[in-house]
Amino acid sequence: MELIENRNAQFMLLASFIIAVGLVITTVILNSIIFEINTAVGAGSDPSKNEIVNHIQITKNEFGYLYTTANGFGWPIADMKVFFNGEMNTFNKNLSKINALRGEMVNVSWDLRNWNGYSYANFTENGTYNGANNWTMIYGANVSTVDVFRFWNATIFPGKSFKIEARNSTGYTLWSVELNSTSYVVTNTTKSSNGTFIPDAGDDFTLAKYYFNQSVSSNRVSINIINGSNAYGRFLVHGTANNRTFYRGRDYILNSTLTYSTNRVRANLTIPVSVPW
Amino acid sequence: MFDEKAQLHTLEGVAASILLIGVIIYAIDATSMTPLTSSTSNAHVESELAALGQDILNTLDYAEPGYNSKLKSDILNWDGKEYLWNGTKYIENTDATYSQNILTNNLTEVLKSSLISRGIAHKVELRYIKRKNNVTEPSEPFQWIYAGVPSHNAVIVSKKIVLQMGDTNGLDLGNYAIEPIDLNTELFNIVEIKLVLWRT
Repeated sequence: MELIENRNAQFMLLASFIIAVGLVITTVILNSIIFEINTAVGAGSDPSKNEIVNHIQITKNEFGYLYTTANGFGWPIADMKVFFNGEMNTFNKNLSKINALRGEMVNVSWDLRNWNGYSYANFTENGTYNGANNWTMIYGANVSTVDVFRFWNATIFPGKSFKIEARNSTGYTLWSVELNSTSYVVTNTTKSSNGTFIPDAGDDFTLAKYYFNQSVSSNRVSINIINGSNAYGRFLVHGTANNRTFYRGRDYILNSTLTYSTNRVRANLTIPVSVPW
Repeated sequence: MFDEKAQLHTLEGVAASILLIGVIIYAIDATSMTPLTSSTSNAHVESELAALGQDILNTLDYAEPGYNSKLKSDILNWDGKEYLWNGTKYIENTDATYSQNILTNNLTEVLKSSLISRGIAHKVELRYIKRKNNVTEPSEPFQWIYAGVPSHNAVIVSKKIVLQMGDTNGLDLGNYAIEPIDLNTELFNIVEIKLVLWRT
């Protein structure tokens, strides 16, 4: 009878049952949480991000190619734009078709107002006024082959200046030309002759070119732009860097809008595109 | 000596501890058996494969202005045939009694160093726009590199490459595997390359 009255061990058993049930419930809940986490991870990785970047890239390349091709024909500007618009329409139509396989809609539209209005790009890194002011255009350029750095239709804001520098691998400026709206100053630390910057029309920076290989004695330089937002116009530089021919040039910044639509993403992306490069 | 209280107390204590230990063992076994256990990190493995595949395509598709990327060059040199990995090289999928071409290009070099060395199976498909009865439509997928049927947790990454008429200079368009959309435009074709990866 004392046995029946001894409840301590019975409480111990009861407690163990309660703990056991609690552990089972916790395990089941933990399982569900892990499953949901794994499922969420799989669903959260969005492949559309890479596709959007791919579409931006091929659209920019298409702009550059068509602009260069149009200018290469030597047509009047109106005919160039007709050609450009027609080819972009073809590109847009076929891009939509190949995306339709995945249930995605991509539409490309474009804005040629800067081209129509001869609104040239700033000499900043991305061509807009708010772009990086000081930037490196090319690294490791072989000086003997960088022949000409040309400007067209260039303008410097009154009271402001704009500089082009050639620096060696340690960052030391070997040669520079600082231009303002009325004059220019050449600083040359490597060769006695400074007469390497040749505005084609007297002192007019609007149409000018300079010869690296006559100004810098070091073999490899980086070409840098300083205060690029203080000037705008068209430029072109080409030569050899790291044993490959390079081109860097810009006429305009054109705007392209990608309308992107899938079952998870709806987006309008407007991207500035530098042409020709 | 005949204290039955303590003996029963002990017996119930042992029963309770056996019960608890049994549940703990069950709990440990159960948490290691999640619904995605062909590894618990299956989703993470798939994410890694996708990132690796996308990095491969992005790296091969990089190009300086004025140049074609390595991936575009490989597509422009595609002979339209299917290749299989035989353990040492990518060989043409034809009758073995005849001479079989070997595929060696930028893509295969990267696949060998990045995927084959890690035991990651892969296949590469191409799809482009074709013209049929004066209507353009996406083509069926063409196998470029084939390595069997992908597993259920394979990942697919893709990239679109635009081929311009200027890119095809020097190509014999009559024998090139990819047809032009329209010879009267500058756009030659848009090719979608798909890389499928899975762990064996």
